[in-house]
Amino acid sequence: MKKLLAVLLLTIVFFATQQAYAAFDDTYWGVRALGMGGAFTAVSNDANAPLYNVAGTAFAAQKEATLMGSRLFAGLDGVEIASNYAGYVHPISAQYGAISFAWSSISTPGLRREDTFSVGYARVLNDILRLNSEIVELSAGANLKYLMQEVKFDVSETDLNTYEGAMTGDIAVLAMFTNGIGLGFSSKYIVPADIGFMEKDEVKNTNVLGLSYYSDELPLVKIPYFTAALDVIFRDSETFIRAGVESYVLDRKLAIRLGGREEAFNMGFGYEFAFANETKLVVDYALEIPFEVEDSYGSHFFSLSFKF
Amino acid sequence: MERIYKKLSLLIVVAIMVSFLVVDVYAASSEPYKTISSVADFSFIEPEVKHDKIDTVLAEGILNAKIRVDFGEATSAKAVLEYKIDSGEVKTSTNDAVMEDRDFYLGTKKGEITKDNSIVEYRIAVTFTIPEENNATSEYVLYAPADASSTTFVTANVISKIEGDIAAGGQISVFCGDQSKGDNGYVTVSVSPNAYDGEHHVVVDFLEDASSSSGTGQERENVISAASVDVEGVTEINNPIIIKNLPLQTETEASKFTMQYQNGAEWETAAGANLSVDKTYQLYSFAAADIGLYRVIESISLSKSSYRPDNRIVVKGKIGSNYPGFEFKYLQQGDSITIYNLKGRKIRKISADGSDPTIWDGKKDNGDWAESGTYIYQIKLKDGGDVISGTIAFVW
Repeated sequence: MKKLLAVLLLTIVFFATQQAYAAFDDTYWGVRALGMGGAFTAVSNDANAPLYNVAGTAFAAQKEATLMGSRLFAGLDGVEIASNYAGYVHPISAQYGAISFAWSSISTPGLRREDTFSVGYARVLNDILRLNSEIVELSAGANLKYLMQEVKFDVSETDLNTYEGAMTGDIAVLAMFTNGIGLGFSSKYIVPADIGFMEKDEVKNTNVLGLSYYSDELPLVKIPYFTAALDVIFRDSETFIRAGVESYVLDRKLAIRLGGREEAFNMGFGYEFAFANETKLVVDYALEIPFEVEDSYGSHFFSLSFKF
Repeated sequence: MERIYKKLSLLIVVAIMVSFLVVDVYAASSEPYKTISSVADFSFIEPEVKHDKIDTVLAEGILNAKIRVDFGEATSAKAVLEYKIDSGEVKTSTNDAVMEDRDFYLGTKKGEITKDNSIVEYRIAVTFTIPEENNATSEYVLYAPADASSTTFVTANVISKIEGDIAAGGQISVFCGDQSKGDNGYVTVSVSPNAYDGEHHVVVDFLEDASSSSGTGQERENVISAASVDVEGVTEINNPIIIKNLPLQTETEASKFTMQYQNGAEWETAAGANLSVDKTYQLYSFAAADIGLYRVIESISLSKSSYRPDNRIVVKGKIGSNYPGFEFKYLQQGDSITIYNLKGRKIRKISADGSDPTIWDGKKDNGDWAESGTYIYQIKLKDGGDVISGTIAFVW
């Protein structure tokens, strides 16, 4: 156990001190995560995991496909920004782990868009590392990513390409302790990806350390199926914090979420429709209220997930 | 039944996924490209260009002068000066220009050129002399936006002041300086008797300090040019002084412009003002009946889009003196622009200082360059009203 924590901490320190690079961000995708303020690195166990912590896909209990749509900063006249996400997680077996596919996009029609395509793999390592599953389950994973930036230049900018793309990747680990503590680390864009049109513009390496706590019933206040999560993000010599909570009620059908970060307050809910053969349809919604941008009704995120 | 429900749900997920993709791709591609800026879109004053002067002669009163700059190689330049006289005849100078480093030579006097091969559009101010028959000289400033790969024309503009009895010989002062840069602006030259018969021609410039706006958020007035009409020792003028080269491009725009006269206390609509159009030059002229200071006012009904920048995409590597960044128009002192990234974090606040346009140069409040990305701007007008929002893209 001590060795495991030591290795994990060393990994975190190593990547957190790497040179920071340059512009994609993961603030805009994953409705469940957004409902929790984006604090999801140590919670990831569903089709949003490829975005936040690919190692979490190893903990997905079922095959899951999710689709997200959104409207960012609604109510601002002249602002039309949408983020979309599609993800699929396919657990193969305990031996072979899980694979995942994801596409995320944020676009302003007629102006600019970012697209990320990723293929991921993750596996629980308990058998390899001879870890006691009664104490912890440890998984590790990696994403191979293609980043693409497209800009609708004026016709006068004929000397520039309309899009630039580059390959990069993520690596991640996630430890879920049986006492409810979760500890995750994800290092994103570990390979410099130059997406500049005219100058070198490398997507910044982003390291995220996540901590979570889960309880079937939170002591004292007796909140059922309660999860609290905290993400600390290290990016380009800056540090950001995200935090959120989640609770399931109505026989674990309805999820209620709250969260926030420096720039916004988040809330959300999700409802699960269960069918035969463990088939489930989950509808999620998240609202993000920005603190500084004026006159906005907030950003609205919807998703539909299918577990089978 | 459950199996059908399961398949139906999966079908819905896939269908919505596809529709999102289709809608997004269509929306992204349906926006038309902007057309390239025309010459008329340029401001004629380039703040960072040295305020050079051009010597020439007003044998018949030059109303239009054009400079053509043709860059064949990065290290050399060829320039031809064309100017048009009242009769409509176009004269062309025979002087070739040689560009060495960033300096530009035409004729016998040195000018200065601001050139950057990475910048597609830029402006030029040159100094040159053209001798004419009567040995009189006056000075001109030419500001020429040019395209690195093509030839562009622009009309030269100066402000002239007439002093003394020109018919008996005297002085002509040509305003071509820049008072904001410590230049008193006037250069006086001698003219021969009867060199100027009939109308006195005064060519109007866009004064740098005349580019300002006033009024409320929805109704603002934009001062687009000003002219000083002054005859020393003369209290009235018998022949109207014609002011030309007003920056109007189409006849239909005439109703938007009025000529104002400074009566010593305030600006008032000039009595007998008679704006007329010269379709040949695509310019308007105005007959000044009184001595004094005049200005042309463009009355503008502003909508939210009036304040938005025309250039919604700026490339960091192209930013320079002629490509300063995002240009927000018609803002007055007291107005402000705030730039947010897509996280909703404020990265820059700009307070308008009254100069037009107000620029965001792509830098954050701490002086660092903003990252590539889509940004939200919010414009706040000092006189209230809605916040004006929009999106822009800054890329490296």
